[in-house]
Amino acid sequence: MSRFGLFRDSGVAYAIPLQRLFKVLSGECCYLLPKLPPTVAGVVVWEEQLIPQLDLARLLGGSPEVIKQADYLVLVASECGILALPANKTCGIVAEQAGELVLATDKKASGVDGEFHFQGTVFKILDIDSLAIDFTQESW
Amino acid sequence: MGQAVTRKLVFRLGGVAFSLDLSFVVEICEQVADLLDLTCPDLTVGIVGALTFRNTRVPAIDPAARLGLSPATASSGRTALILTSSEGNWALLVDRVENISPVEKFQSLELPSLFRGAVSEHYSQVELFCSEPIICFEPERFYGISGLIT
Repeated sequence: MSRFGLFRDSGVAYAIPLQRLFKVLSGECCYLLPKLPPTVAGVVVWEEQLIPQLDLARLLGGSPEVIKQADYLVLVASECGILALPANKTCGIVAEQAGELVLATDKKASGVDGEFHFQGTVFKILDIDSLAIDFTQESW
Repeated sequence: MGQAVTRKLVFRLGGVAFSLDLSFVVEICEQVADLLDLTCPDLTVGIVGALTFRNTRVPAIDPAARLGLSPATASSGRTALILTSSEGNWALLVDRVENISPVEKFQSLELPSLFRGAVSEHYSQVELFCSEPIICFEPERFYGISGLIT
């Protein structure tokens, strides 16, 4: 049985497969560093590690955001290490059967695996490895 | 005999904090507007002008543009750090100096491999100081022969 962690941030609703969800932090600062790749909003310090915080709006095709402090930081495990995603609301952990799963036909292009429809909201299921690879390629 | 680095200076530029080994610093000059001549830039090597220091003119370097940062302080209110190098003194323009602390207060952090390549031309080390990640400023990247190799 698949389960998802559901989150919202600046009008974007997204779902993280539970096996990729590492930790949710609250009240942590995001710091700007110069010359980061365009899809990285800043860095977070967690347990003496620098964690890149992704610019979710830019990654999902929206306008780049001015760096702001998110209420929550969602740490996710990717093949390239831990990444942080911003969230201003946590919407719980939900089993796949509680909603409707719609798989994407072109997930590699968008970094989105599909959609999870739950209680009238469409949550984009993020393909964490694809997003990480995208910004690694931008870096080089 | 070389002097061991025992303290670091923390300065801020464009909202970002940097650390600098104090052994590089000759003097800190605040409010440098009257000392700064911006009519003679050589932007190909990052020189924005000349600063009068102890009756001599030294090259003034503003790393903000190269780092993609916008200085938070107007030109008239900026601070110049006079740094020593094998090619003579030069002035590093910053927004403000915040702190001078023993090196023990700084903890080295590993740069994530995901963006190490993107930033490697500009910095290679980040440290934790007062819970904030700050960049180790490497003067040789911004002035002198090695600074021209990018």
